[in-house]
Amino acid sequence: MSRKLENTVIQRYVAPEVVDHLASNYVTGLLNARVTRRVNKLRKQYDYLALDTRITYWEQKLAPLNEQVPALAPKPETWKNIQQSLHLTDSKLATKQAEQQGQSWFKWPSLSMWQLSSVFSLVVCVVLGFQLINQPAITPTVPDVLSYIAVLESENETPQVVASTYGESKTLVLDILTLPDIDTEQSYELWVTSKTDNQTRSLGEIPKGTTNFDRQLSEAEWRLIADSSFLLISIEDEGGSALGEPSEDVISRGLCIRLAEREVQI
Amino acid sequence: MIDPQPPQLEELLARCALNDQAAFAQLYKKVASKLNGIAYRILNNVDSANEVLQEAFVQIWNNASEYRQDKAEPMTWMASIVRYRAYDRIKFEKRRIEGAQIKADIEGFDDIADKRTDGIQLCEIDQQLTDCLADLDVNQRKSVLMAYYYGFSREEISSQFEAPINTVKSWIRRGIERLQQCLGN
Repeated sequence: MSRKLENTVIQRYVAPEVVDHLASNYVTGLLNARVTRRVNKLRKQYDYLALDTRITYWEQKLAPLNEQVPALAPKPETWKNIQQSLHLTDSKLATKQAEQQGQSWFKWPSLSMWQLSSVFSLVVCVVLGFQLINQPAITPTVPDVLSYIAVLESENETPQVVASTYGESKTLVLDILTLPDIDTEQSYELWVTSKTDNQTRSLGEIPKGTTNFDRQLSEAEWRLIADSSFLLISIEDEGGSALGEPSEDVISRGLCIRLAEREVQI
Repeated sequence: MIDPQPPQLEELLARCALNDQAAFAQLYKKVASKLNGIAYRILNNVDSANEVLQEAFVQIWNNASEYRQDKAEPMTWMASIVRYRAYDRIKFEKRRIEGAQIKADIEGFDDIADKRTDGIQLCEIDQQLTDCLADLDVNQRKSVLMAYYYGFSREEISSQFEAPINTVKSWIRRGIERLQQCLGN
């Protein structure tokens, strides 16, 4: 490439209108992969400081949009994967903190099937009993008012998942007692059926291999819960139902019971 | 004796730049759920969101020394890393745009205009941004937010609206221009 052409290209990327276009479209994710890679390189160079400045401008201006995005607890193995990627296994403190974050407070001992079944029933009774009697709920991370609860059961009435929602923080908590094994290319998806129009809508996937899962609900999701008659779980292809409705493979279902007395804003 | 204040994100990032692994673990504990939520919002897939979160934290650790407190809030800096990684990934993954939840959320973008009229702020969005978004035409606003929130491409927005691609390009271009004028330089 000639020197003249190279200079032309440089001039193009310092023109204010081009810089603004690139920066705003970069921050909103609208650039294609090739241009994104180019911007990633350019913004680190001194000659294109204006581009980096405008990207920062748009990031800051649009950042408040992230504040209303519901939090979602990461899977326990994510932290371990990060540690492995960075070879951070030497720090005992870091490992200890990660374990506190990622590991369940209770390890299942080796039990026979009937013992496990008894334990599951006991867990359901204890969870329901405490939650009904002692509000706010016992879930330590969500000191809040328990608003709705559903015990999702299999076809043979085995309790599988206890779903609780908390009104103050609009948090959904799933205590997963047992779910059938699925293939690696499948996923569990949670659904809510409306009292008003009887439509069933997705509340997203349930991570595989976890016993406790909580996440904040968006306003729209909270409205779905407030209007729900029952919840159900289906098995879908990985990534969730492509049709926006559950497959025929519904494995669990439970009535959604409203507990909080005060009016829930819809 | 006064209890020491918990370290702020700026401090934790500064310590990460000095290879302080305990600070990195603390940082993860403080912000991972929020950042994972942002990734999930774009990817609509728990496993993909966790993978993006993992990649982002590797980048945060490696690039912590590049964080400049005078240029950006720490959460903005980290959230941007997550969003760009999620945008990259979604270009290579088949999106589930038919999901009823996304449609419901897109309809909910109308609330931005409605709630300003009622004098009520939309959740925690700051007032200036709420006002500026409310001043956009509805299609301009939805297009910009669909791109930012969900990583929709122009082609996908065109498909959602059943509108020609050039019309969508025009909505986005004018929407961003008006937003910039409103937000000020």
